[in-house]
Amino acid sequence: MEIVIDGRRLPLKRQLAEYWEYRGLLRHLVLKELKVRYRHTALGIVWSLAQPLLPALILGGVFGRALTRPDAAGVPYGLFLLAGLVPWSFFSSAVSMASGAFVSNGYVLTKVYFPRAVLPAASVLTLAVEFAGGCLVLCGWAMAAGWPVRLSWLWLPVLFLASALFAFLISIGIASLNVLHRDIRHALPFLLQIWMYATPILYSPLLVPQRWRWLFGLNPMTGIVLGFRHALFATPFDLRMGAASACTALLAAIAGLTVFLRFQDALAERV
Amino acid sequence: MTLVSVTGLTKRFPLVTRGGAKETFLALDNLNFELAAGEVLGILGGNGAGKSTLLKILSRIIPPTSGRAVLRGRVGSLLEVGVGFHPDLTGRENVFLSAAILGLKDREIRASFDEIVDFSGLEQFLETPVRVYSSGMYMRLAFAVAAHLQPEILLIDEVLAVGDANFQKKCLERLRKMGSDGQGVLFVSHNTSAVARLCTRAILLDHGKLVCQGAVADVMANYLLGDSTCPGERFWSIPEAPGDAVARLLSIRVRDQFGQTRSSLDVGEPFDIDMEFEVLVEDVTLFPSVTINNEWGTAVLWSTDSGTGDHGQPRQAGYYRASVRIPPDLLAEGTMTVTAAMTSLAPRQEHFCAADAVRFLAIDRVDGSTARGVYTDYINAVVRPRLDWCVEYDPAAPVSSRRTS
Repeated sequence: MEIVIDGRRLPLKRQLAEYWEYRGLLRHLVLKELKVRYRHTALGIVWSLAQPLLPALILGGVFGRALTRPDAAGVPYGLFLLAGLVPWSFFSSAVSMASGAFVSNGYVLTKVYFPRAVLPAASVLTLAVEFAGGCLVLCGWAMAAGWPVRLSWLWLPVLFLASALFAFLISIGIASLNVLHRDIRHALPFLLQIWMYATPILYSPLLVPQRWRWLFGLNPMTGIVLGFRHALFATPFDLRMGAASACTALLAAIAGLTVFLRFQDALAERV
Repeated sequence: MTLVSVTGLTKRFPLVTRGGAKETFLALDNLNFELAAGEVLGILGGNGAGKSTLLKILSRIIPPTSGRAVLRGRVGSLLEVGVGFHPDLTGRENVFLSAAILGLKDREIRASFDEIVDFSGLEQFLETPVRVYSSGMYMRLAFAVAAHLQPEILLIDEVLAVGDANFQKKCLERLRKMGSDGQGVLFVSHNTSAVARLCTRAILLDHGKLVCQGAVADVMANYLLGDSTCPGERFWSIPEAPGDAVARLLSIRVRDQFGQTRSSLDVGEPFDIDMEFEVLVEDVTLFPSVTINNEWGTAVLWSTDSGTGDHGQPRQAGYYRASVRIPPDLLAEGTMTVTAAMTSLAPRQEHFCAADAVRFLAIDRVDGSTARGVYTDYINAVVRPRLDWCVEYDPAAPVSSRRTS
């Protein structure tokens, strides 16, 4: 094995090989995070389910009657909400945790080498474990509410992976920028809050006038949330919105990856 | 085989000054050196010399500005012990986590887990969160993990100052063994006696430049004594020569047994202190003497010309050359200074006393050839002579207090 250090970036193939070598570290970091989060708790990972479940129950209970609309295709409002809140709360907590991964592990970055994206990847994976739990609760509720298990549920793991990958790729970019400009850490919570309202979680996209829907679809999380509902309840899925979501998601992911690749070598000096 | 070759390695850091002007700070300036298999290369230098920057670049933590380094073999880098330890995790969990951060695969960790635990001596505390460990225990566990990296190239910084003397010794042993096993070690430390005991070669950095490289003793002497203040010899011109109307000192120097003027000497070998002096009046009884002082200011030895025929006799005026042989296996290691004096008695009068006129570094290798034998620990004594020992085993004697446990 020969390593040449000359200030140039490693070839992409070498970088990928390194990530493969460090897969053990990724696993240990995820385990550490889960252990540290839930050690000495009686309920453990159940706590993580409260985050999407609680608003779904409250809002569903309060507005359940008032807001049942034909466009929800007869889905109880609480369940309708949960189908949006589960992917969203994963996405927003994954992005906010992974975006801080370089800054909060600055000390480690300056003392030891490992492929840098392992840190945000560990954050995203940790939350993906909780996301998986949320999905199980969601499916359980759907079945309890009388929704039949159907083939389209197979879309759920696909959407799960897509949202995790999207969260990871934009996070590595944001996390790198965060090292250079710490404003991002302060701005991010606001951005995520606005983003949440721009995503059809509390409402159905059918409320949006037809001619603005494509614009609405540019939000990648719209595609994910609508996909979740479509897979579970066979609610209508606007293909044009889905395509728009996929396009922006792809562009944002490429941007995130590019920023990360550009700055990864300088992280230890700037953190 | 060359494990590491560094060519033209340079690192500039941006520096933001008060006026906001962009300046750069040259942390490493065109370094060139190599590390061969089986070598333990010591990196010496004061604060800000660039030692840590060098190690960070070779560890791939930060990129160089220009130049290149080629590393052939698996690299283990240890810039700090306990990186990645989490206080809430148990000792066992932290072993796995920190080993993974240092680049070990699970299979390798499992294979050496027992050895790691054994090395740390903490088997009872493995299931305890490390936040309740004492700092010594924490460091021991952390180093134990690091010591089992088994890299072909080990880069290591300032981590030996951990734990008690016993544990330190264990760490040093481990590093030495790596060298003799054909791995390469690049070792940064301020603990200079550790460098001397461990390293096969050393380089000295100063303000990012490689000032000298070579045998540990020479590089260390260069580092400890500094270039300007490290003469192994000293001359005086007549107006400046220490002395009075009776005698004056012209020169003094330290020579090894082959006659070479040296600023570092092996305590296992004899050496000479030479001085030249002039006596300016006839028929005075003069006692030339030398004192060797150690770095704590303690006078280690004093000696005068008592063995010579002229001892205690009145001397003629004129030029004299004196030489005193210091026997092997007498001095301890450290920075020594030599004071040369000329005294007459009744009434006592000091004609010159050149305090700390020359300095040299006494080095005690641990290859078994000096009086310390293979005893590697720190020795707290001002001299360490080789004495006649006799240790006998008496199988017939009753052993009254043999432990039964």
